[in-house]
Amino acid sequence: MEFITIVIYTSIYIGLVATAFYILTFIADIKREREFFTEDELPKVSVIIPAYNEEKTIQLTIDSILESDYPKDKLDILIVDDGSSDKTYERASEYENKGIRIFKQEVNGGKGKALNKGIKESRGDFIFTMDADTIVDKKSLKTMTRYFKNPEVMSVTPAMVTREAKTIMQRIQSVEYLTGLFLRKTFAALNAIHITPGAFSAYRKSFFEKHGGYDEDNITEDLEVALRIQYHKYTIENAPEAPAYTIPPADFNSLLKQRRRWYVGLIKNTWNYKKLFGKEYGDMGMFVLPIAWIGIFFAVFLTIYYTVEITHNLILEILFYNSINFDVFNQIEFNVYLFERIFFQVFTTPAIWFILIFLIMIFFYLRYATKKIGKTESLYLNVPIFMALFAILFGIWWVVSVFYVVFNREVSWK
Amino acid sequence: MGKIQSKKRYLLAFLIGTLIFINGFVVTNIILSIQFNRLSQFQDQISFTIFEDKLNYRLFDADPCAIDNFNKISKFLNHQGRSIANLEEKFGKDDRGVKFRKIFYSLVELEHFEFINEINEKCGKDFLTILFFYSNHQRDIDKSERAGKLLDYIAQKNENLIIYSFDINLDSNIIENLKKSYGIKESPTIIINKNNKISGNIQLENIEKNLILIK
Repeated sequence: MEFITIVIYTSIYIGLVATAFYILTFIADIKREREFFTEDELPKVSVIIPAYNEEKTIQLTIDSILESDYPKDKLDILIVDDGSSDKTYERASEYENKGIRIFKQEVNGGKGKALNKGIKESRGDFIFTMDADTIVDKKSLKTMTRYFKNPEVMSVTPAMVTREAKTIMQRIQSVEYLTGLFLRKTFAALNAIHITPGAFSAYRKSFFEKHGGYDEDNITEDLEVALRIQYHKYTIENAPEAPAYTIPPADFNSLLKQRRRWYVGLIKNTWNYKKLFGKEYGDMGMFVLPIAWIGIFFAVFLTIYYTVEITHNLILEILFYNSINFDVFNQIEFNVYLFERIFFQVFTTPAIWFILIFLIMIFFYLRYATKKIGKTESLYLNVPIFMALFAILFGIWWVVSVFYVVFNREVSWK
Repeated sequence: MGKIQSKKRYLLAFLIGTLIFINGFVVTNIILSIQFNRLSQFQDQISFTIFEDKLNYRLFDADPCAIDNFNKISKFLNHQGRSIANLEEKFGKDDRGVKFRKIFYSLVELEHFEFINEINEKCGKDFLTILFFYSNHQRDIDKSERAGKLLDYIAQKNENLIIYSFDINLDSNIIENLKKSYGIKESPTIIINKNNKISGNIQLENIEKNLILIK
């Protein structure tokens, strides 16, 4: 058996075991009882919105918070303009008469610094951090805050989904985010959430007071906080009934830049918190984190292998078609035998059956997601695009990120 | 915090994952067996038809020029060859069942080849034949695959051209005799209409030139 075949089937086997484990975990968690704040017990919360040159979107973001059903007397909203050169500050200032406090950083100091400023000025016991182009469902704040009744809970994550899906890249991300809802809930069941989305998450303020604010030099400060929470053995919960909508990058280049920052940040932060791997951190340390990184290793390896293989085969094909003057139509004989051969070729490859199983799983993940957040647009169109392209993109993002880490190349925010 | 929730769950996941994994291979092996049986059935039917036709005109003086099954068989030979190649890839080169069918296929090809030559001679037909000797050993496979694709292309453009493929590494007396008969020493090698030999770097222009000369 060829080495590459062994690699592929090993990764498939690990994927099957992991998927089975996550589904069993999800089922076991259905019966678990959690404590929630009642309506009267709802505490004061602060929503911090750091913004840098977000004049086009910031008002929609503020409006979505104002429309929230969270008791207005317990809601503190702060905007931290991080040295914007456009009219972000002016747009935000229009809301000052609605009780929103606006702070202006004279110099662009980065998201971490802006968030720390917000934490310092906040009045609530719990903090929501929110990007200036995110919007939330009106019940999300209340739904998420309820989870903090458990004193061990230091952070709550929402059902992070995309706001619009117009371009091909956005359609792919739309499905990616939806399928992530199931996994995030399962990770919460294991207390293994290791990423709290920077676009919208909630934290117990006392955590920052005790363990320090955001790392201002970190390109993925949201990720670092999540790992820090886990490191100190607290709990991160997930509220799948609390949708938050982010605008995903629209084109390949901007998406690549985003993922490069995320994954370089993930590599560096995971290295800094490598103690999280191991028995001491239970299911997260023994299974979730190792499996995630094994999956990444396979993605990088297979991407590099197939890039070389496909390029080699493409060159051979071009040389061949050149030798027959690119007379493609005389190359293939279309008859019933051809279709029979294709059928047998495809369905006698075990990998095809496993891909079908994973596709069925994705279907169930999407069912779960749409049940939690309601109907989503264009799913029937977006899913095939996702199936066709996501694995390739995922491999490319990771190969590029590993390259940046290995060669110590600088990664900026934008 | 920091504990494994359930060791039993890991065991169950391992069992479920393993079961699904094994079943994937079981299902594909079942389909492979179906493909193998189907191929064997077709091969038996084709060889039966060839033997019947041959006996009819050899023993019972049937007019070979009136026999038209060879046309259907020509198209099916191609499909057979490719199906065997697929089975060889899945079962492995050393699988006894596949080896047997491959040798059987070579015999069927040669019977057909002989019949075509007779029809050309007795009935004034102008079928062209190419004997294609290939190897699927690692060092030769790329050249042989390229030659095979070239021959497919040429066959598509020439309706009266029939290609017979033989694996030079097949452990069979017939193949050895065939190699000796045509002086086959390397792969890929093609023999056009029993006479013109082209070896090694087989080019389209070379083949087409030979075919034109023969026509």
